Amino acid sequence: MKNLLINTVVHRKQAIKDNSKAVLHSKFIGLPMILKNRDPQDELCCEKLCLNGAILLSPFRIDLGKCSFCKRCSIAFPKLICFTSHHKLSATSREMLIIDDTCDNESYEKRAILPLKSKIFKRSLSLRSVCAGGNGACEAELNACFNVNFDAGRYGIKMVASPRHADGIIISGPITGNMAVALEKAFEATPNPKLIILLGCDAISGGVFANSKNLNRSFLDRNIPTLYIPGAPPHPQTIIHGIMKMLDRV
Amino acid sequence: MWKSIKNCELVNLKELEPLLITQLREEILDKLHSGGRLLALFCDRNIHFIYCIIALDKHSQLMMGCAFIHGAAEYESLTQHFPACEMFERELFETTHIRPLNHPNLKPLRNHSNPFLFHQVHSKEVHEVGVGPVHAGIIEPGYFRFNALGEKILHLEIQLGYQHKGIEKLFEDFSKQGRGLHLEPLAEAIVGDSAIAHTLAYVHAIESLCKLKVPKRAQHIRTLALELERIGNHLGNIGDILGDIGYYLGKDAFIALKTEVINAMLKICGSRFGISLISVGGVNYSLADDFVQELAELLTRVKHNAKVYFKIHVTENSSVLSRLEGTGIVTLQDAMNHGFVGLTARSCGMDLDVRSDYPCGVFQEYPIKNTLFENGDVFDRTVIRFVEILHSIEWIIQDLERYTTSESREIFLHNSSSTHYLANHCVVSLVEGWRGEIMHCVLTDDNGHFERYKIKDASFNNWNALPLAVYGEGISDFPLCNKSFNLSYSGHDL
Repeated sequence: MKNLLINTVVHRKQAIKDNSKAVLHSKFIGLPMILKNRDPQDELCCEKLCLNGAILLSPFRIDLGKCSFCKRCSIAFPKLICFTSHHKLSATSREMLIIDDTCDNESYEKRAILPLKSKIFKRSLSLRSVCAGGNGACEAELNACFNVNFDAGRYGIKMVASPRHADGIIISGPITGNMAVALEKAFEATPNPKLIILLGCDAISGGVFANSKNLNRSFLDRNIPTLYIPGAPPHPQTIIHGIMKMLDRV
Repeated sequence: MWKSIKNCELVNLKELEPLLITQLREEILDKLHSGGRLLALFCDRNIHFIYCIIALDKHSQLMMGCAFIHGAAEYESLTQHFPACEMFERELFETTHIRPLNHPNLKPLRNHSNPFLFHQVHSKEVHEVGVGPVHAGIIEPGYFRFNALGEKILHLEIQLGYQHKGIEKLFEDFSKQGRGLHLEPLAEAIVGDSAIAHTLAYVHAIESLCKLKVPKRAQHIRTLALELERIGNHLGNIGDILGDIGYYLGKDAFIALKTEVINAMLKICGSRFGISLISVGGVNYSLADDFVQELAELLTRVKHNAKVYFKIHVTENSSVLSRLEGTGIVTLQDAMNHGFVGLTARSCGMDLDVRSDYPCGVFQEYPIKNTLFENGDVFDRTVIRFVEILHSIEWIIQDLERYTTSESREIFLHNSSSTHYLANHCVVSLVEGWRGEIMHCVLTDDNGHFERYKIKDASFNNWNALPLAVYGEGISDFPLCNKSFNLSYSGHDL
């Protein structure tokens, strides 16, 4: 019993005091930067290397919505792309996720997220997770957002068990054909007004599975997502920052 | 003609003489009777041949055989004699439409185009409960249908396939574009929490096909990452098991420990799941000397804390014990009949571990301790995780010393002169992920592209363990039993 109490006291502290001020380890693979003075030949090879098709040519750009942050382009072409440890990657529009060589940490952070105009979700946001083909990593990181370390619950953000209790859904995974109906039903069951958050590059663009014939992404043709959280999987801090910024709380 | 091979050994497909399906069936039955274990049963891309791989675990050997399909429409199923073949035959039927006759449960595995017919119990007292595919927690989708008598589960049927993304086909398609050597991001995306294990299986296969010899140091880092992944996930699982019985204090203690471990992975490669670490030819990141020191200290601390927490929150906590002990029993006989692998098998006394049965890389020289438990209940599946954590930590700490004293500093093979893989060959690569055995089998065609890329995650074998474990238990114990296996939906559905 004594041990139990000591153990409880040891854990009764906030592991991360303020998520908005958190800085990730310098090795973290975050926002990529396109370097200037590039060799056009390298650009071509680099575009071919990327399995996800995240590299766009003329002009040379990176689509964060497709990038799986595997860093292999930067390892192969260190003079072309370098990855910073900047984790604030989320954006509220698909176009914002495409970055060119003028983009840096500060400018990206400033323009990427337009906070919601409505204030009704600001103090309390309940979300329902719908995994539509995700491989478990995005789900694990979403779970981690609410564990003792990151504790997003303190901001009034919570995950609920039913879409009927939710203010929006978080979709992870590339949306497989077999999950299309279930996703539709979960979204229908969510009361208006409602948000759609896409978690991870698989959900945003299909990621590495984009060319698979077993996907059915028509849901996204009919509905416009509110927030895009890039990464494969995104770091919990990326998720928390994205949602907090969308709610205009950081 | 059967070929006998080792883990990661090449087979020339031309030396593999095809049999007739009926002959192949007889020989598979022979081998299974004499102690073999079915590892894979699949057809090639154009549905001309059926390939079969059988594992002889005691001899560390794999047997590979193949048969012509030749318009054959049916054969007598293997499942009626060996229930372990059930999933494999269902999968084969779904891809080839060759009907296994007298198969007791020939239902679709991943194809949802026809409605799924669940088993029904006709009784006024029995009620059906359907759960899924969207679950209350933040997990992957799957559908569970319970037949319950009061609170007791009479029967559970699981329908999966919601996650089916056609990963095997993507491997083959990318290879046709000449990108077969750089598919690590795809391998990393098969099962998110086993990214290292699946990527290892992929790179081992490709390195065998290309005859690349990976530097020693890279092998050390790879194995270290594999064990780190095991430690992280096992810690998280113990926490989740405690969470599912409503004991959140214990959960939080273990999840906090898990976070430390996976954050150490981030310090190696920039991703908490080990994404971007491994590439064909080596690893992308070296361990700095001061980091080696830091990692050893961290793991010593984790080991100490894990022991303390496990004592307080599990073994000396009577309310936890009363929920875990004797719940969700899988017997040794069931495990052998149904061909379970990994920690599910080891927790009921089946000695099965790729790291000792088919050692590869560093494990050949420095074996890791193996653990067996007997009862096969939730408690044993929890304790085996704990013991494996301790063994892995011990092994890593020893290996870190070997790592620092090794002379060669090379971590990547740069002179990749032979970047073309062999045509008409096949290689089977086995890796022990934290759930259990992971198999990748690559067949190349005349042009050296992947003719077929077959993946088998441990979850594919083990999903049948869940209905056995919950049989006769209360519905309220289902989440606990489910979490004690913690199987991957994505690894099953591919």
